[in-house]
Amino acid sequence: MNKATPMKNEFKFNCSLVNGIHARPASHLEKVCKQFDCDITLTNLRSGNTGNAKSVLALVSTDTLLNDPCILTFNGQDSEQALNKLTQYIHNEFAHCDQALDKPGASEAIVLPQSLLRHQPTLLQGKCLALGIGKGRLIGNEDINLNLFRTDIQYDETARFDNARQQVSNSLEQAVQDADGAEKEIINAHLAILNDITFVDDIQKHLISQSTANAVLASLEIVSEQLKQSSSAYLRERIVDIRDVATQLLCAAYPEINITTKLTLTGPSIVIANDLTPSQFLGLDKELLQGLVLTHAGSTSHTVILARAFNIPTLSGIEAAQCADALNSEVYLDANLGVLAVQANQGVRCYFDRAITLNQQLSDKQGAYAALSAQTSDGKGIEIAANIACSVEAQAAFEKGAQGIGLFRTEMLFMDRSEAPKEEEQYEQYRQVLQAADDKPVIIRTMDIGGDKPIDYLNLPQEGNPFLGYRAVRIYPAFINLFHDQLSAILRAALHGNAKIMIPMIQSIEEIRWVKEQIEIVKNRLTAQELEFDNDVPLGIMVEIPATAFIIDQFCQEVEFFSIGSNDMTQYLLAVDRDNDSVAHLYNSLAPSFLRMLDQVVSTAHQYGRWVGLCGELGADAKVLPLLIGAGLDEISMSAPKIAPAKAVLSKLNSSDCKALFDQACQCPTINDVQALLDNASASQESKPLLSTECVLKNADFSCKEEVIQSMVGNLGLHGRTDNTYKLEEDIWAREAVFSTALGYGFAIPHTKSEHIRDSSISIAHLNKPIDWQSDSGDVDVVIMLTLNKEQGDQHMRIFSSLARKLIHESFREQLRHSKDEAGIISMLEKELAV
Amino acid sequence: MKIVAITACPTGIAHTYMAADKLSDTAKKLGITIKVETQGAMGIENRLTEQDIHRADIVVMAADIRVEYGERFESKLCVNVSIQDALKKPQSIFSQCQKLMK
Repeated sequence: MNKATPMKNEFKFNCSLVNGIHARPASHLEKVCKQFDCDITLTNLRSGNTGNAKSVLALVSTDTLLNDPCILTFNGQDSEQALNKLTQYIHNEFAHCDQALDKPGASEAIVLPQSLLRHQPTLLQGKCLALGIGKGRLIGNEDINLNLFRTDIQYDETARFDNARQQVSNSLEQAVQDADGAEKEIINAHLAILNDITFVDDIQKHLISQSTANAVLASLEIVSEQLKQSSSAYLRERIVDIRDVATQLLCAAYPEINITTKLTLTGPSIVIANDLTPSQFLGLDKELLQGLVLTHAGSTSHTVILARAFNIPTLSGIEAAQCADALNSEVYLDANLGVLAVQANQGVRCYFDRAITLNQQLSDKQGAYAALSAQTSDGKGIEIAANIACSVEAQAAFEKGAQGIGLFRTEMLFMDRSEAPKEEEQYEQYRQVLQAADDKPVIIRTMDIGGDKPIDYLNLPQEGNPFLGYRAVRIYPAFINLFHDQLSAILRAALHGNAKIMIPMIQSIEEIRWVKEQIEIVKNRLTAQELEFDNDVPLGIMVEIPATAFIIDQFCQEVEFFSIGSNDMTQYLLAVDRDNDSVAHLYNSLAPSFLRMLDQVVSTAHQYGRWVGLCGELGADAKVLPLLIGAGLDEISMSAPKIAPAKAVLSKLNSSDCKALFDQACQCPTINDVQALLDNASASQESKPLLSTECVLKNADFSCKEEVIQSMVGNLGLHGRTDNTYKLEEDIWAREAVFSTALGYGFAIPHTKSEHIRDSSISIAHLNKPIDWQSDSGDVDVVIMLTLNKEQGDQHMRIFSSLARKLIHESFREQLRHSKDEAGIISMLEKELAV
Repeated sequence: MKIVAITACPTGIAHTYMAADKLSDTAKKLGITIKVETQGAMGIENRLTEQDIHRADIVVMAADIRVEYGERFESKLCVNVSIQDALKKPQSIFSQCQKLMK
C-alpha cells in the first residue's frame, strides 16, 4: 500500500455486476479510464488476476464475477483526478451499465404432445435458445482450420498487419452504419476487440520474430486460454468473438489464401455448428436459414442474440456426433419443444408440417392486430402510440403497430456523455424519427433532466427530494442555451414530418408563457440565420402535477394538447414515493381520486376542443383499458410490444359500456371497489362463446387421428381459448385411452373436462377424406370436440349433454354433416341446442 | 316389462347422455317402459325414486365407472353392461333382460 507516494492511488470495491465484468461493462470502464494519462490497473483479489484497465480484453481476463473484491490502482501524473472520477463512476454508474441477460424458454418441463409421440419419432433433445419451428436440410458447418494460414516471415510484417487491421476496421465501421439493434452492438464489440490495447500489443510483440499469421494465432491462443479458465460461462463464450475477429484479420492479411469462411445455403436449411461466429451468421441467407443447432453455444452468445433478433429457431445441447447420420437429410427443428427430429417418418412429417402451419397462423394473427387501426367494436377510434427513448426504436415501434409516437423522451440524448449534444446531432435524431413516422404524429418531449436523472456536465446540486426539486422545465432558465438549441433542433426537424413539442413538469401558467416566449426567441433567431423551420408546431404540456388539473381550462387558452403522465401524476396526487417500500403499496392509479382527476382533465379539455393523451405504464394494462376508453382519452401511448395486444383488447370493447364503467368507477369509494368492478367487467368481457365459427374447420385435409386432434386443439390455442395446447391435448388423449370416442356413422366426439381450456368450446371439423379413428366403429369424417372448462360448470355442461343426446339421432347427424358452411353449422347448432 | 337403468361414463360429458337416450329410444320402439338415471358431469339427473325401483322388473347398469348409490338395487335383478354396449347394441341388452325374466 503505497499511500505515501503522491503519484500512486488506489481504490477498493466489490464488483456489483450480475454477469461480472464481461465485454459490455469492460468497454464502459475502459472508456472512462482512457480519459486519463496515468496507468490504471484492475486487480481481482479473488482470482489474483491483474489487467490494464484501459483494455477491454485485459479487464475481461481478470475473470471478475459478481461480488469479487477488486482494487483499481492509479499510477502517474493525473492519478488523483482519475481516482476521484473512477470512485464516483464505480459507485454511481458502473452497476447500471449492464443488465441481467434474458434467458428464454421456461424451466418448466415441456410435455411432448401425444400427436407427435404416437408416431414414434426419433428425437434429439436440446435446449431452446430462440423460439420457433423450422424444417430443412441439415447442413454441418466445419470450423475453419486457421492453421492453414501459418507461414514464415515474408517481408514487412508490421505493414501487413497494420493494413489488415485497417481493412477489417473499415469494413466493420461500414457494417455498423448499416446495422441496427443487437447486430450493431455485436459489431461494436468486435471493433472494441480489434482496438483492444492488450490484444494488439500482444500481436505486435509477436510480430518482431514471427509472421502476421503466426503472431495473430499466438495471441488468439493466449487470450482464448485465459478466457477458457474463466469461471463465467459468459466469458468463455466470448472466445468465439475473438476467433471471429482473428479470422477476419487473417483473411484480410492473406487474400491469396482461399478459405471459404462463408457457408452458402442452396435451399431451406437447418445449420449445425460447434458455434457460429456472428459474422458467419450474418453471412447466411436468412430466407433459407430455417433453424440453428449450436452444439456449444450458451444463451448469451452473440450469435444467439442475433438469432433471436432474426427469429431463427435455435437449440443447443445436441452433439454433432448424435446427428452425423442425418447430415444432408431433411430434419425438423422445434425449439418450442426443444427437439431436433431426424429420420422423420410420414406421421412425424405430418405433425411438424402442421405445427409449422399453426405457428405461422399465430404470428400472422398477431401481426394482423399490429396493422389494425385501433378502434372499439362499435367503431370508436382511439390512437395507440408508442413511447420511445431513442431514434432507432422508432422504426420497430411502427412495425409493431404504433399509430404515432406519444412520447419521445429526449433526455436519453443528454445522458451518459461528457457534454451536451450539439443542435445538429439532435436535429438528426428528431429528423430520423419523423421520417420513420411517415407523417404520423410524433410528440417530442423536451428534456426531463435533473431529479433522479442526473447529468454530470450540468453540475446540478444533489437534492434531498429530487421529485419535488430542480428538474425539467424548472432548470431551463439556468441552461437557456441548451433549451434554445433543443427547441431549434425540433422546429427545424419538424419540416420532415408531423412533430409536436411537449413540455414536462409544468405547474403554472407563468411557466408555459415563459416557454412560449422562448419559442418566439428561437424562431426569430432561426429567421435571422435564414434557416428553414416549421412555424406551426403544436405545443402541449405533460399533465403530471396535480395543480395543472385544477386550472386545465386556463391551460386550454395557452396550449393545444395535453398528455397525462400517469406514473408521476399518481405519485404526486397520492403523495406516494413508489420506490419507498414502506409506502409503495399506496401507489395505485385505480384510486378513485385519480380517476376523477382524469375525468376532470379530459372533459374540460374536450369542452375547449383540446386533445388529451396518456403516457405511462397504466396505458399498457389490458384490464385498465376499458376505463381509459371510458374516460374519453384521444390517445394512449405505451411500450411498442404492448401495442398489438392492446389493439386486440380494444377491438372487443364497446365504447358506451366503457363509458358506463368509468362513470361507475368514479363513484366507487375505494380502490378495492374499482378493482372488483374491473374484475367483474373483464370476466364477462373475456369469456368467449361456446359456439363460434372460429372453431369450425370445413373441408379439412387431415390425414390421421393425431393430426385432427393436434389441429383442433391448436386452433383453440390460435384463438386464445387455451394457454397450453400441449396439456389440453394430453387430456384429450387420456380420454381416448379409456375407449375410442368414435360413434359409428362416420362421427367421433373426442372430449375432456380440463383445467387447460380457458373458455368451454365446441369445435367441429369436416374432413375431406374419412380417416381411421383407431376404433372398431369404422372411419370418421365428422369430428366434434367438446372441451369443458372445469370452473365454467353446469350451464355449458347442459349444452354439451343436449348435443350428445342429439347425436344419436340420424336426422341431426345428417343436418350437421350437410350444413354448407361454418355459419350454417353454427346457426343450426344454436337453434337445435337453444343456445 | 318395466325397466330402470343407470348410465355413467368416465368423463360424464358425452356418453352418459347418449347412452341414456339410446336406451330410452330403443325401449320405446320395443314397447318397453323405461326410466333412465344419468350420473354425469352434472351429477345425478332424472333420479330413480324408491317407488321406481320397487316397481321395476329389472335394472340395467350401463356404466364404466362405479355407480353412485348402487346399494339401492341390492335385492333387484341386475344386468351389467358397458356404455359402449348400450350405445351400439341396445336391442340385445333388452332381449337379454327378457331372457332373464323368463
